[in-house]
Amino acid sequence: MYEALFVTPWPWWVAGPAIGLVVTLLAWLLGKPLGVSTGYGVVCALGSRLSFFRAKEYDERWRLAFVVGLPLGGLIAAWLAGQLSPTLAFGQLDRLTHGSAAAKAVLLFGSGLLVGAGARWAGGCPSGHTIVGVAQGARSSIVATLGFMIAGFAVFNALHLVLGG
Amino acid sequence: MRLGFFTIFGTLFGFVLSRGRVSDYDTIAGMFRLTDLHLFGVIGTAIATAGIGLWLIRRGGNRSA
Repeated sequence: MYEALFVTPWPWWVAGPAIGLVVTLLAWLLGKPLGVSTGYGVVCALGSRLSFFRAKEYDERWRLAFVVGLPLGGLIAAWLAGQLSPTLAFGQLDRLTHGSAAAKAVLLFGSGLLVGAGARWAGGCPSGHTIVGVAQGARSSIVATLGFMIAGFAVFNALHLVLGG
Repeated sequence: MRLGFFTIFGTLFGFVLSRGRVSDYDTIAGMFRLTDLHLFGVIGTAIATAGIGLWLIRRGGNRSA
């Protein structure tokens, strides 16, 4: 039981409904729509005077409290699985960057900037748009999700074609 | 104090994403290579479950959902 819950990765038919359940409970118990990238916008709003971050959605402190929990959850999952061993290994990305830590750092940092800007431009990321928005049948979320998928496929495969790995 | 509840939810979400391999580079790479369809199943069932859940809440009269 412990093994299946905390050590072996969950199959898709457990992980998907679990995510849907978290979305439902957050809406039901606390009355909020789950979303991650707006929370990072709240962080920016704390330290930036740009008018972009004066929008009402960046005034929601609960989003900040929510994103603080994300890495904690990841840590707890790794700890319970007995896999809490910090490493710079990054799976197949290591092949893409041919073992260069600098290339990996540049790629990850650049990707982070693009993901952050893109998610705020789209008004949401694959949590707020793809899970919550699509579940509500929002047309803008369906379009955003198609954009995430098409761009992801194109950029991932182009990058691997050019760099190998 | 109320903010603490949101951190608990964030922790729960991070835990579930991690257990479901959603935060794993190779899982996402597998999706874009079409060699590992796990993530499609996760996303599909997450949307379906959230859709049913939010619909039930709406039917119960909670407008924020």
